[in-house]
Amino acid sequence: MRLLQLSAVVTLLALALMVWSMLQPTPLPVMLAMTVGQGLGTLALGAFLFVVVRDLRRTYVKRRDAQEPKDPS
Amino acid sequence: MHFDPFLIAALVTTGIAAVLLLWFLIRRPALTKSTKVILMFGIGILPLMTAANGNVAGFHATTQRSFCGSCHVMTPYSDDSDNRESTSLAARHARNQMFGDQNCYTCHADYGMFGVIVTKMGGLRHVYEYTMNYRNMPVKQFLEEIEIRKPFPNSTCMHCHSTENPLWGTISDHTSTIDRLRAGTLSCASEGCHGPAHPFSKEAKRLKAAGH
Repeated sequence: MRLLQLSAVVTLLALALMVWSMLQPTPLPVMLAMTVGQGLGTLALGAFLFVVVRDLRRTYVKRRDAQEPKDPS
Repeated sequence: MHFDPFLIAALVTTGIAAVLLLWFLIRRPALTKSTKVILMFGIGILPLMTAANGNVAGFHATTQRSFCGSCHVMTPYSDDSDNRESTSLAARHARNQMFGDQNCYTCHADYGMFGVIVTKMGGLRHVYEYTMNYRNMPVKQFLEEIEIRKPFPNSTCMHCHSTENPLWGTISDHTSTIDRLRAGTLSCASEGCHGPAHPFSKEAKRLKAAGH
């Protein structure tokens, strides 16, 4: 949950940089948006996908363990 | 700021993504499947759409004369193009709607196969040089000392003025120099022909050389 919250904050920061470059299209904002902004956005998306994949994996492992026949001994 | 549908699209997707993310941060809902889908839009799909539309809008913005003129050393050039009374080559092209507000980019862009990339790489070099070396340079000194990095290629002029038009061939100066023009050894924008494109910069250099 903490990672997702961080990811959401980082995405908001990335969006802010991108909006700044669109509202004030001068060299510095445009370059910041296309480098730092998009980098932060990619990082946030990576963190989100990491959480989703980790949760799916946990669910899969839980299900597999529940379905495995118990040792009769 | 100019109207651009990509800009509007980017702002709309940004707004929706921001609402979804703020909802998630403030309400702190349980991490159910539907929350994850909402986050997929807030963190993934909508910001990707913003980035894509923003890139196109950003590219359009970087072709505007106002963008070039946003570095102080370029203001004499953009002011000259804005001047309806100026008779410089650059200003006359700026008044042509084929060039208009994008006259800097239209004339200084590379038209090769990878023209856009080459032009943008050149632009990055300009930003680097400006930031590291020229950001505090007075405009007067800039006009006196700085030259265009590479000679202006005639091929850029010939992009529109093909030199094949019969009317073009009726001018004796054209016919007598056509081989040199096509070879690029004589510039269309040279003094005595159609140039210089930005005469005030040449005047500043001349005055400096004369000790004024």
